[in-house]
Amino acid sequence: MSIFTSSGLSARRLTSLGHRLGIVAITLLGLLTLTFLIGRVMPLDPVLSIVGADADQSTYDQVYHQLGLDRPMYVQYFYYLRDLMHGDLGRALLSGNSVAADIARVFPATIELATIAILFGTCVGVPLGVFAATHRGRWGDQVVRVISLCGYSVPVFWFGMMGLIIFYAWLNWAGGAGRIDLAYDGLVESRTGMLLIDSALAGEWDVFWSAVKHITLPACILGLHSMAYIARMTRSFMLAQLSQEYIITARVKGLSEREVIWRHAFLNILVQLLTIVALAYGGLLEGAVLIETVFAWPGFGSYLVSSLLLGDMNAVMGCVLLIGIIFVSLNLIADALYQVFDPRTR
Amino acid sequence: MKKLPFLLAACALSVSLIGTIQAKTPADQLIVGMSMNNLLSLDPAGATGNDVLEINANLYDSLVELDPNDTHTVLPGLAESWTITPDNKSITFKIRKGVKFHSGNVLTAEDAAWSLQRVLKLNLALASGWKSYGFTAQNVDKQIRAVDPQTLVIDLPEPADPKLIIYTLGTSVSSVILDSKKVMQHQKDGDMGRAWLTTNEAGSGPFALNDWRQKDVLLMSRFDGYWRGAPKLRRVVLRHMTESQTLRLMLERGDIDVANGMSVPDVEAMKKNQNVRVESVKRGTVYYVAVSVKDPKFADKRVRLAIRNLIDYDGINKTVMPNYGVLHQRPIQSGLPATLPNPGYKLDVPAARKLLAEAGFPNGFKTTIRVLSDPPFINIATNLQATLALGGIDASVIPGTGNQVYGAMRDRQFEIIVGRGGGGAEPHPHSSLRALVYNPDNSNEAKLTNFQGWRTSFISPEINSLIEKAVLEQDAKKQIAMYQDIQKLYDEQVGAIQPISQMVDTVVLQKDLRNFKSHPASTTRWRDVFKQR
Amino acid sequence: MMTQETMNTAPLLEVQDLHVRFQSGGSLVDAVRGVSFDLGREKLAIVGESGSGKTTVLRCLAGQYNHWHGRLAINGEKLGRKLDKARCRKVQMVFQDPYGSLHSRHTVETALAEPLRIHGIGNISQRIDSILTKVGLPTSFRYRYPHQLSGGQRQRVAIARALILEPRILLLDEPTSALDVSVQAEILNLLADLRQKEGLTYLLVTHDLGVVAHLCDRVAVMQQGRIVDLLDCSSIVGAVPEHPYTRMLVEASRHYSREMVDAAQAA
Repeated sequence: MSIFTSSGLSARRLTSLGHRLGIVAITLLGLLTLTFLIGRVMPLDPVLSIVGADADQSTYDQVYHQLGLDRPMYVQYFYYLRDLMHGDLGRALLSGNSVAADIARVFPATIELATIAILFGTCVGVPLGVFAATHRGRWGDQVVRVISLCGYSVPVFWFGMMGLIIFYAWLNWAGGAGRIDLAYDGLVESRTGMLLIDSALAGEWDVFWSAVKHITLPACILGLHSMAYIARMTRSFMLAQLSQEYIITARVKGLSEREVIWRHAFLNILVQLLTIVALAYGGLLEGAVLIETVFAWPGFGSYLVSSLLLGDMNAVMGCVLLIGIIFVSLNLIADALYQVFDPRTR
Repeated sequence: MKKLPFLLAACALSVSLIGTIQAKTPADQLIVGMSMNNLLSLDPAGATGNDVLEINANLYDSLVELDPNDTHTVLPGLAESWTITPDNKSITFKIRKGVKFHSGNVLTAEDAAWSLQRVLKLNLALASGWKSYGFTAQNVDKQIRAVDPQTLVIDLPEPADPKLIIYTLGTSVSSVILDSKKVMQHQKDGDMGRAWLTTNEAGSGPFALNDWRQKDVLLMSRFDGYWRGAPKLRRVVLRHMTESQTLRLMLERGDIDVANGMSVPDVEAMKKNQNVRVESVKRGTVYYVAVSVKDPKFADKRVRLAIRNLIDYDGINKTVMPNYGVLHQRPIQSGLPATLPNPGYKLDVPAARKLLAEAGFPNGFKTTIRVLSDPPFINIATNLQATLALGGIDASVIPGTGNQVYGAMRDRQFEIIVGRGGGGAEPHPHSSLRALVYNPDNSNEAKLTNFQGWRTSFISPEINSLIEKAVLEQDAKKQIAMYQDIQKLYDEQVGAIQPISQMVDTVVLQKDLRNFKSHPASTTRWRDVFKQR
Repeated sequence: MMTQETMNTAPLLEVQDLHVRFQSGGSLVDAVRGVSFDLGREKLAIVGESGSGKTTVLRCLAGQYNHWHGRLAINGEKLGRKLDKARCRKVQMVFQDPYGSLHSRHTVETALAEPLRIHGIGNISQRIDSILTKVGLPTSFRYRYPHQLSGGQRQRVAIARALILEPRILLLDEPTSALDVSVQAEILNLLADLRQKEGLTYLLVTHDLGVVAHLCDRVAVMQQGRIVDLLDCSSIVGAVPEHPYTRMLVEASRHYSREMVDAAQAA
């Protein structure tokens, strides 16, 4: 590759990057507008959530005015966007807290949970999928298929309850509901909001173990669905590769079967797989309301749903924006991975 | 292979060993599992819902308290004593000396006056009750005032039963006394500390707030300088848990001491558990079926009577309501001297059909039932839907959040609602009637949205004037008779709100908890609670 | 090598009564039913339409299937079912599709170096240069990825890859059918040259009699898993074969392959 062509390429990439960012901005704006409209159309009255069902009309009107709901919708939207441009997500209508601060409080709990869940899902799902593909049609494949089917179809809520009953109430291996034993609550200074990291940074290993005991079960159960999905996709990706001639070429070269599978076939599905995992991770970061409910996990999903039910549209908009950004970034990252890992796109 | 039986045995053994270990919460901490979904603000002037009542009853003190064993008995709190003038127009409170706030500031009558004035000046959720006594943001400085640091005077702006106001002082979350100096340090844009008090406290109660992470955990710790003497518990932890089965497991494992808001099957299961105690307490509110009289169908008394005959009171109270409520059919809460025995309304389909035919609906009609999607509301509604169908009425159920259901009711946009209400924290007939029946102005423009009577558009001038007179009657016997007349009239005129059940609140506690007394007005106080181990 | 061959009277490649059976869906399919042939220093082509079992025979020899019955031998040494390294060095294979047979994320260099590394052969860089030159590619191509090559170039890389282990026998599975007609000729010529220079033995599978005529001495015609006809190449160019199936194949391919053979001969 000469310097000229590569610089030409990067110039092209730069314009395509600008192009892409434009699409991202439009997507996010569309998402926000839609959410805003839905929020205003939905029969959920934040004022009633604040003043209660039995407040008299003057109180109601006063709060209605204080929230700015008496302004025309486009004015409200304009102010919202203006504040957003200044990086201000506004204040939650109900608590008066800054939405950004609220999200900063609940999101680390979800990141922590989702990250461990996806690690579990990937570390178990990928080998299972590869195993199923290389044992296609044999009993191993069937076993993996049954496991995947369970992961897909059994409600996560049921898994959660069963997990609690078996591993918490019965075996006492898991730590029950919440992120940490209450005795340890508040012992560690919050730096990242992620208890595992905070406690490790502080060197508080008792706290760390308590957090590990609490997070493992919900994360694994949350990861089951991803695991099933990843295993299934890995299997089909691998099957597609294994039927190709380069695999035979590799075998004819004298490579061992393990090398053929991992060095040749698996290398080729890596990028596809990363995309799948990234999107699954995005789904987990949206929060998992059911798991959060069962395990009393103070995460993003619960925050979003309870805000929605109380009609707190400022909070909902902030959440939607974050979800949008997560998905857009994951897509960009997945694209970038293609660029990096696939020589054909260079 | 030889090892297998041994391994299995070892596993079984370890499992059985582990199974018997019951974790214990720390002896000096109270761990409460509850839903904090409706806990939005701790500000006494703006906090709605029952959860905050219990929390603020422990962070703050009020002038008086109602005895949890007999709510008619008013006990002294920050007020050592009080006197009511013979004309029933003024109450004077003697404020206790030597009470200190968590900040160290000394509590005075000025703090008390300021706290109560603040409620009206901010005009938030909790102002409604005070406004119904005639207090306004304008007159409150005059009507509620500190004469000296130890004396607080409340002059009634309108004639009323002063007992009622004293009950409100003992039950309303807006009646707690704030540290005015501390709050004013945190004032922003003239909000009288509203923003700050949403997530902070400035009280004198037995516990001080350490940390509140919304929908996660609320931590409070013992206030050693508490005027009644430091509480026995060092720390109280409220943890947000919405899933009933999780609460149950945590309770069984001994990881929480108190569980609020468990589902009926779980409560029933816990009744068999030797280690826990199930405590139920009646509240002042009632579950009801309300119709909108604005709707021409329900404007006809015969149709309302038909509906009354199409509710399966026994069935609902036996199958749906255990641990949620007990049969009650009067608009005044049960257990008061004035409350008449239940009139014995029953499901009577032939009578209902006859009434509907007379009213011109021999084949019934179509209608809707708006209802909260949570138990027991939704269960009541489906039961009602089935019995209405027996009378030929085809009702579709529209479930929603509390916000949606009561929002529609406040807008008078409904046909039938299954709901809960009735004020009723104050153990006084007026409290129930004001909330459920009283409707001084039925016009749409009046927007008396805080009166459920107005929301249903049901108006009865006789009942209205009786309610107004009864609350002023000084002779207790005569007053009771008047309240009984109101109930009879309500029965005859077939009011738009038909109570079916008196609300019951159920908590499940660890057996070793002592002095935990659930309060009918939700102001359960933990200052004397300890664990007997 | 030469001495060994002269001493050894056994044929270079021996296939005796080869049977292969596949499970397809619920039923069993006999893909190869009793195929036998010997191969010396000559070029044998197996022709037949798709599904006749010709590729299966090739893959058995390449060690891709291990459920065959019968006897396979090289230089009189019986072949096991499993592919081992020694066999890899004796027998190599070139596939039909140069797009699919090269790993898309490996450079030419990686693809060529890997077999050398596996078999512990040194001088990797030199050998790569020399083999690229042999197949008529510039040595600078070693840094390219398959997608940066044309179809013909890829097939040259595939042939280089097969030859880098210096096998005696080269199995060719329709080596030109995925290529443009003009390129087919180039590859055929390359294969013909290499055979002469390197002293290789070819076993070619094709459905294209034109290719056979250009590259082979003898033709085995397969139909439904059996060899139905075995004849000299000269007899299919011009003459009318005896076996009706062979005749049909010849008729079918004559029209198509004429121009290609012409192009090859012109090149």
